[in-house]
Amino acid sequence: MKARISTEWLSGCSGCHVAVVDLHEKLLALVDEVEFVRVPVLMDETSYPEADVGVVEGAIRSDHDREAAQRMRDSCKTLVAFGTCAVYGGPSGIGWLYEPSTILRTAYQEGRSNAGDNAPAAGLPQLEDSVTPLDQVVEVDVYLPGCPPHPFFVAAGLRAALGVAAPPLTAQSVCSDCNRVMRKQSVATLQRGALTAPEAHTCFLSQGVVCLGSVALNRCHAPCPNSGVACTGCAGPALELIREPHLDLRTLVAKRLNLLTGLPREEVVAYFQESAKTFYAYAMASPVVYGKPTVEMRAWTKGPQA
Amino acid sequence: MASTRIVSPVTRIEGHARILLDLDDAGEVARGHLEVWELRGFEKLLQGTELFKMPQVTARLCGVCPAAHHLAAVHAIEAGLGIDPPADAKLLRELLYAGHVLHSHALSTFVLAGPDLVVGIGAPPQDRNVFAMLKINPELVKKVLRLRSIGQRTVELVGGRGVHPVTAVPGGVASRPDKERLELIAGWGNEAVSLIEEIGAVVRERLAQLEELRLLTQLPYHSLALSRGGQFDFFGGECVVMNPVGVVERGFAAASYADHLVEHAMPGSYMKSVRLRSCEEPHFLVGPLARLNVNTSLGTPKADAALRAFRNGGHPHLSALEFIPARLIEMLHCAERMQAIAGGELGDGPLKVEAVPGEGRFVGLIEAPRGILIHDYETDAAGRVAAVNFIVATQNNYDAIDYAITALARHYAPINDDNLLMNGVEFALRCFDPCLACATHATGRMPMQVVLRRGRETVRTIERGGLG
Repeated sequence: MKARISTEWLSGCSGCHVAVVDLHEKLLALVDEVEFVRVPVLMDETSYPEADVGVVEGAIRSDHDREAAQRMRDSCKTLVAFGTCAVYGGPSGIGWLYEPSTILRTAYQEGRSNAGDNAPAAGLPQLEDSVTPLDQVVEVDVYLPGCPPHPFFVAAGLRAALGVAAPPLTAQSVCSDCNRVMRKQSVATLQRGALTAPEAHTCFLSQGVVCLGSVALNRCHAPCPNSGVACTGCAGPALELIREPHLDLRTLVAKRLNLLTGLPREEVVAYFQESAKTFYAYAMASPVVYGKPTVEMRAWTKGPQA
Repeated sequence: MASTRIVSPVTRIEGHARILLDLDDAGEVARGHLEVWELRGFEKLLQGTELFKMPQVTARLCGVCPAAHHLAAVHAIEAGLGIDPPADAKLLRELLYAGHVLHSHALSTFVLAGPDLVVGIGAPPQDRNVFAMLKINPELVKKVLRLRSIGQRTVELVGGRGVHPVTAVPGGVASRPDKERLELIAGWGNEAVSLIEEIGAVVRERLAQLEELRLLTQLPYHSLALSRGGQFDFFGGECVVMNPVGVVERGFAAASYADHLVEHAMPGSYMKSVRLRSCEEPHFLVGPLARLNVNTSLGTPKADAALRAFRNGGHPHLSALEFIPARLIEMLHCAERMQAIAGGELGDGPLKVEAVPGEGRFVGLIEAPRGILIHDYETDAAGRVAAVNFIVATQNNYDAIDYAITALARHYAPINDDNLLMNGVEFALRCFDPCLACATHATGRMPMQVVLRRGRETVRTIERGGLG
């Protein structure tokens, strides 16, 4: 009998579901091997049929999400937290910083195109007080972060969950697939707010541009630095940050920038804290990140506009 | 006694929702309404983000149209800084976007709505999905998936990634694909033209059998779309308002959008509707159909020939079902642009002008696959975003969606077949290819339920149970 796969989409963008379709020709091979019994984006099935593998995209934002997560756990033998939102909260997880009423006030009243009397309707699924990664609500068997994970890792992750022999998911950082050359060269100014650098084949850090490649897990094959854009860490923290409670990405990047360019560590650390919304955008709702003893996410993000 | 029927959850659309049907005392459908149950609230979440990182993180509003958000953000930043990227950068963005629109339209037309057209609106639910279609008509489905793959692979080669591309940066683009990749894309453009012509013929044939539904879903609304003096453009020109009889009533520039558009909260929904300010008929439609209503030329030969034929059948076209042939014409345009840009137009000039983040206001208005998309940021002296406003394509079509749902609910309700009613109103919704993840910037699932309600009392709820 074919293995049965069921999927669910919680607070996320649907990009992880699109990433499954992005298996392209491999999707057709997969359809030969497995039976999709529930895919809300593609199928008319709305109940939660029994399945061998459950794939959940998105974080827990509303009471509805929590119930759906539980139903997926109850109906699936193996549960996969698929994508950065399910694993760490993802960009949806930035909502972790705010009371739901604050989020609703901005959405319904502050924008300049809002009608004067706007307020969200009653009777909707309620936003919970916080945003929660999937494993804070139900037990997770397989973690597959990435925003979305590259189809190579999607295929590997699904095969692992199905118990099929699969190449191991690597534990390396994004640097492992980056073609740029890291070199020591003096840099006078930290390139704040920059995402690009003039030397096409030199490491961003060597040019004083903050790139999160060395502190982000490789679930992508490094397309951003290889296409001229610094890594924004969308797959969440690299393994050393998960394993070591005292390590944080701002201190690790500051250390590397200092060794490579001579830029003062303290300046880099302070910059990360000022721009915490940018550098911690993908995983701040996870206790793996906010629970670190030196991380004060709520204080850092209380800027003039917070 | 007035009552309500509910379709919940809605499937095969990009988001989480249900449909509410209010019945009058005679038991007839008085009004259908889409309820969207998700909210992420990115306007608040992104406050404090560095301006130049907005094109990366706003792509995450939507996994189906990330390239639209990526480019809306870049256009907003460049408009605010007053900079103009080099010609080759513009061509590479257009190439990325041609791939993107091709993927998005192919997904909508063939993968999501395809089962309604090919298998049938009244077919059993377990047969109305792409996997079942694969068993019924594998050759057609393989072609459909191939077409979508061509679009998405183009995004990946030009944009660095398929979902959530990254190469558009303030001032231009960060890199260009090598010669081999460009040759590949140009070849895909040729292949896509043939595929669209072939699959499009099947779709048109099926649509011809739905003439009654086409006539029932005529929207008495304005069309709102970008136009450069009648010339189709995804990124530039003026935002034009054309009335239902085909007269252009006004046009406005991106920066003044808030003087012309206003968002209203809707009952039972996190999604806001957008209307025209100070206008007797404030409702409008956006997207492929609106774009083809306000423009006379797309600038590529095959698409222009198709547009002329489409216009000969009447102007403006206002049926919800006509969004589908409009998407076919736009897909043809995108495939032709892939051939032209990758096959010779792209030069080897500079890719980027200097851009430095700063304080100011940044408004970008572009055509997302589903219609007008607006990003509006204000930044502080450190170049970080202090205020954010989004108006997203599907919000702009909210009133039109409700109108079409109401029309088809009235049509199907008397037949007394719940499966048909439920999928009939969902089909009305799917014509618009609603992207609800985007529209509420938003938590996203599509609980499709039809609730039939009389006053406050729920008469009946139609839910799709297990299919087994």
